[in-house]
Amino acid sequence: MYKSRTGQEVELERYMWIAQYNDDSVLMQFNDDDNTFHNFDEIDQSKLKTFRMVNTTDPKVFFDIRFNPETMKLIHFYRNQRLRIGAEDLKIRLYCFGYEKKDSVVLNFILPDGGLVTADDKNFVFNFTVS
Amino acid sequence: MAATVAIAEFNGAGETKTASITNSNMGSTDAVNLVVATYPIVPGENSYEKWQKIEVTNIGGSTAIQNLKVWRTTALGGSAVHVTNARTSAYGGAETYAQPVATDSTVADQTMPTSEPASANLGIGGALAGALTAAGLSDYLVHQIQTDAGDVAGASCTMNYQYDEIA
Repeated sequence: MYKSRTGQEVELERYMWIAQYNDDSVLMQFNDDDNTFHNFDEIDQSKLKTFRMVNTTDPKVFFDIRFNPETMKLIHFYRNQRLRIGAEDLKIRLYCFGYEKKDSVVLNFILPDGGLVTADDKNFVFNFTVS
Repeated sequence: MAATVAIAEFNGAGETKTASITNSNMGSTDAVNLVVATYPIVPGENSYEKWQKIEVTNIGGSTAIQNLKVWRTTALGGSAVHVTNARTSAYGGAETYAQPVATDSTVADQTMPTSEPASANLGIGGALAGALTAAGLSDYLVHQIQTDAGDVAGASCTMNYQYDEIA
């Protein structure tokens, strides 16, 4: 379990982010050295070189954004769907990351099966079907 | 931990809250977690309204919950319609609680979406762009089933919702 800046205990996620700065120092969302959890707003985007989403059980699986703070604004959030409430409650958690530019957005969605979808719409609709 | 999110329902004249409801069954009484066989709806009449909220019971290590979407899947029985106040545009703001009724809802005047809406359709703090930054509640989701006199059976449908979590 990791501790946030407010003292909340936070469980490791399936994917976590690692922010690499221009001086090659890193800020990790989940830091094993001191068991701390870092919120997205702790990233100093003005110094960001690479934003990586890495699979926490298989670190060979990762996705990088080469970041340009002059033209990009970083995006990261979880999109949660609760399907079939009242029946067999199904929870889907998408790991969403990307960036905004002046007139566009690039958003990646990591799916439950590890697949990656890239869209230019924050409100891209998946319409998951449950059988 | 991730934020903990559930549905709360409010009933009666006193706006009695039940947290983390186990079902959203609609029937011929204003009560939570209904057993439908006990409270069938007469064909041609309506269910009692449901007044519900999405509740963040613990924000965990996250900083915000936003972009709420609600929709129903699976067809209704007969010619019944499912109405709601949820909408993606011209949002009317947060509804003020009123004891649920079985007459035609004056609050739920939209059709409940049957697939994921393209954008938020339930507000927080009166706005679709609103956010919860601590434990708290969304605006009221009000919905009702309105049946047709020719309907002979109900249907087993499911409610779905989505929220974005900023960590």
